[in-house]
Amino acid sequence: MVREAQRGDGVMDESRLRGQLEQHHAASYGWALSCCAHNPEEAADVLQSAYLKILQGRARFLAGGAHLPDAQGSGGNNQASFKTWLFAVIRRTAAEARRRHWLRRKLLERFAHEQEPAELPPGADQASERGELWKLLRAALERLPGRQREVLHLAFYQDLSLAEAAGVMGVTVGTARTHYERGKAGLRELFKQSGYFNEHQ
Amino acid sequence: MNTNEHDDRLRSLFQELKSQDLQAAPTFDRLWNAPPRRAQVHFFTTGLRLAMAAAVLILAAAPLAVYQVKTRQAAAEARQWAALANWDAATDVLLTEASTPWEDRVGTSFSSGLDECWPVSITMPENERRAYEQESEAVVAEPCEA
Repeated sequence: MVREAQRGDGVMDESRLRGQLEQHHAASYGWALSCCAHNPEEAADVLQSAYLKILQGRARFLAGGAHLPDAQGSGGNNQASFKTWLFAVIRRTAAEARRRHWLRRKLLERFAHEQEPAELPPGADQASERGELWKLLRAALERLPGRQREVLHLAFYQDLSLAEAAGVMGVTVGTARTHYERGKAGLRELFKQSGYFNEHQ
Repeated sequence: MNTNEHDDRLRSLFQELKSQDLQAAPTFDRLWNAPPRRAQVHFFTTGLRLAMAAAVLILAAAPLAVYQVKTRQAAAEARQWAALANWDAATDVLLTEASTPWEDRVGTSFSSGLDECWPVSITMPENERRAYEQESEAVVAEPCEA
């Protein structure tokens, strides 16, 4: 990787930047996976591209949240602000990768069958016995619209507040809340269909 | 089930998913120290873009080339037709002569050595013809010695 630290007013040096990125690496990978439809190779590529972008200074984190004009509710917490900014960079990088690979994906889809949303695995009780309820959740998430999937991931997987999730997604808190509620309702409905919530009530 | 229970259950499911994801996560050092794969992607996309640009150029140039060739062929054909229209057969002059009245073609009296005695002209005026006839009657008595 090109080892160029971000320089200038209000930006970090390379060692500090590396420390911050390493600290959030696991969460970043989880977020990259979510942005890449749980494709591990694509997620790793996107994450590496995001790191490269940050190192080369194409994406700059400015302390105080100046880099994210629409970020709300970080409350001056620099850690949360950095994480929010990093997630926004990863999200944008994943979107760029999706656009870049659009043609390739379309060509592949022509040869493969029309992509159907993943079916929920039947028999939630068996999945529960095998400890594979995460598969049920992943399949259910794939059936949700993108924004709903993103806000649920940020809220429940990453433990971000709705305001922070809104900052990552580049939407208002109200919009994020709407997606959050609709996403939860959608998941509840999908789980009811699979019998998971009924059995555990 | 109330909302909080639902949220708690969702949260536990997400944490389960998170632990599964992180089992296969690449280490930070692996990504940090690996050569960027974007170069390969850029090579692929650059090659693809060049190929597409070449294809577009060919598609744009092909009709132009066909148009040029057809225009040249049409011009050459037009020249041939024009040359054919201006061509005159060597015997056309005969057609022109045939349409001219015979009198116009033979406009002068032929000379037979007897011009003074026998001038022959069908275009002789009436008064001259009478005078000529009177003279001829007079001459009949004494023919010309010449």
